[in-house]
Amino acid sequence: MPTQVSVTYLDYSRETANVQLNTENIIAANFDAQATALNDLLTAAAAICNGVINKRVTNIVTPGSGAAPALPTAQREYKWLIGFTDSTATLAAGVDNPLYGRNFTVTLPTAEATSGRMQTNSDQANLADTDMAAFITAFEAFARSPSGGVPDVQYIKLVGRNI
Amino acid sequence: MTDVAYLKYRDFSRETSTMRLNTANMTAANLAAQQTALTTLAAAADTITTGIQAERGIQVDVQGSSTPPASEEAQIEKRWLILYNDTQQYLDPPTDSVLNPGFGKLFQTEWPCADPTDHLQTNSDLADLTETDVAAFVTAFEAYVRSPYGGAVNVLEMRFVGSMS
Repeated sequence: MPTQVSVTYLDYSRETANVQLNTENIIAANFDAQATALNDLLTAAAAICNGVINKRVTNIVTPGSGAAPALPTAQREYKWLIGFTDSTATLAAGVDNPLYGRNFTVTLPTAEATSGRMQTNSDQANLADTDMAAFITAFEAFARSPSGGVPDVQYIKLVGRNI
Repeated sequence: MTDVAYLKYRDFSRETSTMRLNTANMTAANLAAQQTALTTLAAAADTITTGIQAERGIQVDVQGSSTPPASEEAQIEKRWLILYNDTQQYLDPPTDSVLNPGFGKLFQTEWPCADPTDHLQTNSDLADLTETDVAAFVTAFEAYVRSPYGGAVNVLEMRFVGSMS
């Protein structure tokens, strides 16, 4: 599957417009070469366009299944609300993390609140549950705060949402 | 500044919902490890969710300038309409055992803020593909862009057009 690229241009009246492109699948081996090729393309485009590039996003996609789940309780309206704090005091030598200690939340759709996964008579997830603990470990290994700090999950709560 | 990852879920009624996360900046050195970490996270999330993962991805985000261009001629309504086709018959060269279903198909994309000055054929809306700047763009476009099927592309035509937005 090709990787998708979006380039946003800013014009004289501060309006924006996107150009969407497909490019070859980006992997570690071609990561730098593809970045160079994109730079070359945007440099060439600058000669025939007079807008300013406001942003570019390279979306490395892994397609999943096209099937729908069989369980009627699989509803995007049920979510896990994950609360975490940024636990990184310094981002690099001498660079304080401005978001250190701040609280953030994200939601994970189609929450499965089976027995044992919740605290007794509560909307709070049982973080000691095996599956929950594995999720938290993986979450803290991969996710970051907006400044790049490592998250420390404080709670996970079952919530409902309109969408 | 971080990059962004997402997990997109499909539910029983085929509605979709997407979880977005900040993650470490991607480089050639950590891309494979980060993709593995995302796969691990997706697998762990599978055990506490009931939906089906429709897609996941990592968005490598590069911020540009937020200063608008000085020229009044820089307008997103002016565009290059780029017509190209997929020129790759097989998707697995040099083995050539997987036919490309997009081979020969035509595609188009629009590029905003087009500058037609000195780049058009005489009395025409068509770009002069032999003009130096246009030719350099076409070369770079064909080097980087792929069709939605993954095949290499060949630019057939570039036309100066207007767009409402």
